[in-house]
Amino acid sequence: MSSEHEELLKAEAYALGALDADERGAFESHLGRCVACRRAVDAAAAAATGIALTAESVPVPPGSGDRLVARFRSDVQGALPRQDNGGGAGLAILMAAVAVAGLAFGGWSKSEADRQRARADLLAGQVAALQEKVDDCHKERSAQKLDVERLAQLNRILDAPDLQTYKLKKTGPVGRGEVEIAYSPTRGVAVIGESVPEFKDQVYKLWALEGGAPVPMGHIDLSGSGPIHVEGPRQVASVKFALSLEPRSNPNVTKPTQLAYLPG
Amino acid sequence: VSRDVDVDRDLETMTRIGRGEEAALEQLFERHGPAVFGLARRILDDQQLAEEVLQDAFLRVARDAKSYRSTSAGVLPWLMRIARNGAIDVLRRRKRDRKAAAPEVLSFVPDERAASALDGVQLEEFSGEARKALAELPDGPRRALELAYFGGLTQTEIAEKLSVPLGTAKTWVRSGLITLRDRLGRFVGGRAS
Repeated sequence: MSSEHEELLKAEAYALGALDADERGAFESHLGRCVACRRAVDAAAAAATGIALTAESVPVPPGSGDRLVARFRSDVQGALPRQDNGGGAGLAILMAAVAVAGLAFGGWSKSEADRQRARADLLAGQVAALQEKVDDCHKERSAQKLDVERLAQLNRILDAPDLQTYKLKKTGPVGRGEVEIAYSPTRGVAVIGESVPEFKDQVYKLWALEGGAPVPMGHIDLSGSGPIHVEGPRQVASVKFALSLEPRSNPNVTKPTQLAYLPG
Repeated sequence: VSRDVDVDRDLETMTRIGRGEEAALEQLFERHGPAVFGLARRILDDQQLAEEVLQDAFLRVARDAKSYRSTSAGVLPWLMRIARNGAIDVLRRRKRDRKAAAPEVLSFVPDERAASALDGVQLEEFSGEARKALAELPDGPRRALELAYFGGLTQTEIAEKLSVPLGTAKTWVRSGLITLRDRLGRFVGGRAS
C-alpha cells in the first residue's frame, strides 16, 4: 500500500474532526497537494452533514432572537465604522489627552502633579499597547479575508467538472521539489505547493506553454499566507505549464527570464 | 412549501442580511434556529452554552452573508456545520483538552468543501434518509460515528470509551461514514474512491 493511499484512509476521520492532533496536522499538509484526498474529504464531509440533520429540532430559548439582533447590531453592523476610525484606541487617546491637559492647567500640588503625570504615562503606555493590538487585528483580519477568498476560489476550481491537474518540478535556483497546478478553463488556475522559496527581488510568473510560444497567466504573490495562488478563468489550448522567476520591479515580460518549475 | 421556494427564500434572506437588514436575520433565525439549537444542545447538553453556540453560528453566517453561495440545500447545512464545530470546540475546551482543535481548521475547510458537495441536495429527503441510514448501521460503527460527531472524540478517545483496540475504532469510523456516504450517495454524489 502506498503512503498516498494510507493518507486517503484518513479522509473520513478528518471530515469528522476525529483525527488525533499530530495526524491532523500531517493530513492537512498532505491535503494541500492531493486532489484525491480533497475529493474524499468533500464526500465524507457532506455525508457527515447527514449526521447533523439527525438531531431533533428544539424551540430556541425565549428572547434568543432579540439577543441575536442586539449582537448583530453591535458586532456586525457596527463593526466597520469602529474598525475604520480605530474606535477604542481613539477613546483611550482622548482620555490620555484629558489627563495631560489637567496637568498643564490644574492647580495641583507637586505630589498630585506627580501622580497625575504617572497616570498619564501609564495611560499613554496603555494607548500604545492598545493601538498595537488594533493594528494587529486589522492586519490579521485582512490576511484572513484574503485567505478565505482565496481558498473559496481554490475550492471552486478544485470542484470544477473540467478540472485538470499537473505537477511541476523545481529546477535551477529553487532546488528540488514540486508544485501542483489545478486548471479549469472555466473557473481559473491555481498553483499549490509547499516550501516554495521566496526571493526578495523576484516574483514567480505562471506560463502556459503553447506550441513553443509561452502565454503569461499571471504573477504569483507569496507574501500572503501561503504558497497558494489562484487566477480567474483563462482559456488556453496548452496542457503544459511552467513557472519562471521575474524581476519584481518589472514582471511584465513577454518571455520567461529564468525558469523555476517545469512540467514533471 | 417546496424546497426550491425555501432555497430561494434563503438566498433572498441572505442577500438582505448582507445589506445589514435585521428583519432578514430574524426571519432566518425563525426558520432555522430550532434545528441549529437542537444540534448544539444535543452536543453540549447545556441550554446556556447551546444558545451561545446558536447565536455565534448565526452571527458568523450574518458576517459572511455577502459571500454566501446558494446551493439547493439552502443555508441550513452551512449553519449546522458552523454550530457543530463551535459546539465541539466548547466541549473540548470544557474538557480542558490541551489540543483543542483550532476553530478555523475545523470550521473552515470541511464547511466550504461540504457546501459544494451538497449542491443539488433536497434537504428534507436528505435528512430523512440520513436518520434511517444511521439507525441501520451496526452498533459499533454507529456509536463510533455518534461519539465522533456529537461527542467530538478523536479515534483514540473513541477506542478508550468503547474499550476496543484503536484499529477497530478507526475501522468503525471509516466504514461507518463510508456506508453512510454510500447510502446517501445519490445526495452527495459518492465521489470519493
